[in-house]
Amino acid sequence: MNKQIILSLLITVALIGGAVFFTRDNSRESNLDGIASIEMVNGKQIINMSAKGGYSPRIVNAKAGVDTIIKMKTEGTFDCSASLVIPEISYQKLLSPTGVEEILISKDKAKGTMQGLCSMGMYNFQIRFN
Amino acid sequence: MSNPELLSEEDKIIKWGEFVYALPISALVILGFVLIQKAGLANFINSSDVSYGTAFVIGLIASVSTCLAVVGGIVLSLSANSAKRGGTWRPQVLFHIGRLVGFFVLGGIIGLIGSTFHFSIIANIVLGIIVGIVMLILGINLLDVFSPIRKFQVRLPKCFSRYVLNISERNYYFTPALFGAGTFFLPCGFTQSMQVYVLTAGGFIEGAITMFVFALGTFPVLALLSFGSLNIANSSWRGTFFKIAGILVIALALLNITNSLVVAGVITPIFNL
Repeated sequence: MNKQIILSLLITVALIGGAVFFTRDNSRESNLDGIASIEMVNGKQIINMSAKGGYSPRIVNAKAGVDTIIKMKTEGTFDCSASLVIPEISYQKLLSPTGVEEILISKDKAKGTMQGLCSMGMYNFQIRFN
Repeated sequence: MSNPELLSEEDKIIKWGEFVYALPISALVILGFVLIQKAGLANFINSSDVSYGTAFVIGLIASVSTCLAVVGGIVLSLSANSAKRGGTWRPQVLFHIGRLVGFFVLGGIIGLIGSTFHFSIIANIVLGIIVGIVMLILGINLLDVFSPIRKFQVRLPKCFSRYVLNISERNYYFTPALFGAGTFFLPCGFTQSMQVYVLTAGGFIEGAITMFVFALGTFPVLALLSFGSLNIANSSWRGTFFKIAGILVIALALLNITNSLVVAGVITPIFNL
């Protein structure tokens, strides 16, 4: 019986460990795809992002103190990422399954780290203004 | 292993031995769930315009996705609790009929009036936390580790448990069906974006059929959860099954509560499912 309990606990710990390994928020690795997504148009900073099964890129480094527009692209997006929330600017919207949504961030809000999430909290992204 | 006539006896002993199988099996299910999420199911949906076939596929995907954390968790906790109290198949069938009919009617209404039932973000957070806490309590009850010490048993508030648990005890017709229809409003990304699609599609029939077909797509997995509970509850795996169900419901409840707190900005994101 004791052997069984130990074996059971070992298997459980191994499986849960595997699950944690896969869920852990590995944002540092997805940092790279954030480079090419920003452009300046008429003094406004435009951040191009996409939402489908999560947000991409996960981390964006942007300039602070500039009027900013996030262009969030959806393409057959029916999962939670279509239900976008950005708490700091009180933004909440259900994005249409296919299209581009423009989200305005005024220059006085464009500072620090801004967090975006889907309404159930499964997916998230960060815009770091610096 | 268990004898129906000894049910009251059975209730008095904590069968810790059942955890020997229940723990690794539930861990395996959790790992499987995580891997399914990581497989990027959402990317299987390619078409941007939704035929009834697509709506069905979206339903299938939704039923194994994080939506499962809410709707599936509730179905599992209610049906396992019901099976544990010797409930029959009737409330389960009524729940599913209620869900399908509810999605048809409410989908039609959305298509007709052209606006969705929109919950504010605060309402979503509060709803998520309440659902999470109810699931947590139901899950702990399923574990059966508190029953010998009755006074420590976790209980739902009376007025609430009257609605939730009496489904099994009195086999009401109305309550389970109403619960089924009510799942239309539960926070689930897929359901919400289907609702948004139906808005733009317009018309009662279009909306009703799209939402109905979507609900039909979620049916196989949900039916497996509720009728599976009933079947296993009558086998010798009974005790182990309730422990597994309890652990899974608790895990889903914690996932819901953490996610709600993340959206509320209380804690930083932990999971990226």
